[in-house]
Amino acid sequence: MQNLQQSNNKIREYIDSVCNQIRWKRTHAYISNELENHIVDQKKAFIADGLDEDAALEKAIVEMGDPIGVGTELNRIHKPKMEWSIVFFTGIALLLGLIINVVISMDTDMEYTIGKVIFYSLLGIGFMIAAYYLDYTIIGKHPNILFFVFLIIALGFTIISPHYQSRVFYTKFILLLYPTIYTGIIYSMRKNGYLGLVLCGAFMIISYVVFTPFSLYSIYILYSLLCLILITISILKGWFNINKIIGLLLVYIPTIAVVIMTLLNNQYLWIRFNNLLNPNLDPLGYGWSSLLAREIISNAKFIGEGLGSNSGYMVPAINTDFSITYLVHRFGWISLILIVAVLALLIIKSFKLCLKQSSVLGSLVSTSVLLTFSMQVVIYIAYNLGFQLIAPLTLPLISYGGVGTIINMFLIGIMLSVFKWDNLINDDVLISSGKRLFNYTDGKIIIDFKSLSL
Amino acid sequence: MKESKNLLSGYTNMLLLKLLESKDMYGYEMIEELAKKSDNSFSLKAGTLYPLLHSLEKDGMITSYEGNADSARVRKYYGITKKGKKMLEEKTTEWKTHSSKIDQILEGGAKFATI
Repeated sequence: MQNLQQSNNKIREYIDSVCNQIRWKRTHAYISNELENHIVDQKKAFIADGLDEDAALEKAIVEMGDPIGVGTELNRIHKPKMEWSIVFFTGIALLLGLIINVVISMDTDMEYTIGKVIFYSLLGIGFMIAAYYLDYTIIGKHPNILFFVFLIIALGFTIISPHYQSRVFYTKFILLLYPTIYTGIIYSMRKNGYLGLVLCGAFMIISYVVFTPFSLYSIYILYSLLCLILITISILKGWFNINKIIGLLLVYIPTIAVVIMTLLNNQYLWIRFNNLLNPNLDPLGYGWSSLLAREIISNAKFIGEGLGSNSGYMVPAINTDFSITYLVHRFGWISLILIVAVLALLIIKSFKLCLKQSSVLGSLVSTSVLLTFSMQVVIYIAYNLGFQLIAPLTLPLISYGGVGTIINMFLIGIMLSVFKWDNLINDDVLISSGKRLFNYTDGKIIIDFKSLSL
Repeated sequence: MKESKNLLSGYTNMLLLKLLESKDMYGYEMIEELAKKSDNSFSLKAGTLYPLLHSLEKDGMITSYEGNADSARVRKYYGITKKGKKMLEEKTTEWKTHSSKIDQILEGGAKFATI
């Protein structure tokens, strides 16, 4: 017994000095298991060759090679890394937003918002950095708690504040986190196959009950769509471990039924939908701002100020809801091309990195951020060009908006924290709670001895 | 024969991929196999092996999974991927070209010496 203890200590000592060189702590368990197995195998082989226990161990450790050198080499491979390209494009977008806000403020004699823009951008950078260092795997570890706490917070925000437009407005932005938090539900439910899929739907229904009493109807539909995309990806990738076609039917038949039922029973949605196609139906009501935006846009040049006297100043809330309409009028289509180029670079780079993720949770979380971000861009631009289905949230990082900027930066930080991890670390390493002895994943039973805290 | 290690080092990845082409293995098994197949000429240190394996995995040439074949010990097994097979093919061709050129020079040199 004494001997075993001693030999374990020696192995431990070797592995510790390897791991001391590796900055990224999460890989320690992953690497030490492998090295320990190797030493034990080697020792057994030496004993079989006729060496005694101690000599065999000694020799096995020498055979491993210099621990500092090995550790340094492994550290080089397993470094957590900041995706600077994403940070760079985010910075460019923020800067562009600042310039645009300066221009709009100066042009329109609007309340001077530059100080606020800088303040919220800096706060946003703080949130981004914080999210980068936070451990995003908490989404996979405690999905249910997180989901309900989030719903309660969102609900609290809506109830406590008085119900005028700007208050619900805050909740609207906080709900931008919803798809990302929902990925935890998909992640934990995927192990239950068909039942898991049904439960994913149940969670959507629960959130429906929370969202809709406060006229966040359109927002709910929007986020449901994103969650639907995430579920579809999960089914197609085989993460639910079910027949893909049956899975898709199980999701889409009820979804389509609900959509048809809703459209049949909801006048408001019809009005908005008709307005998207033909704003002339209600030129003084819902169609008004669509028509105005379309008129301004139709007079725009490629470069330079568009025709139509001062029509650019007539749109409401230029710096929050109509910055693109205004810019296209004021500087021509070139301004839209510039904005789209910057945001597209950010989106494409993120998309490529999302595809590289090998862990299920990492893929889901980063994809959810990417979708949430892209969705805002598309809705905002469409709205500004006169295709107005729902009121835009924000043009992420660019249009003026305190909470919007902070939440979007926080989401980018979460995405960066996913990209920080090595893509070879799988979910079991990522999420290992260290409690269960038997883990059943991907059709294999994995026995986790670390759970016994040896 | 241990001197040949330097010549070998650039092609260690190729040898590791070759080993995994026949079946999935864990680290220790690979070192043993390598020694056996080379009549104990090539002895790879574990400290060299694992960084190489982890790099290969990161580049998508191999994948790993946990499994317990014999004892209760859970081991990390490595298996070759499609990308890895392609790389192995390329490296093998490259090696064959190189070594035939080297042979050519060596033989040429021998002839020259005999004249």
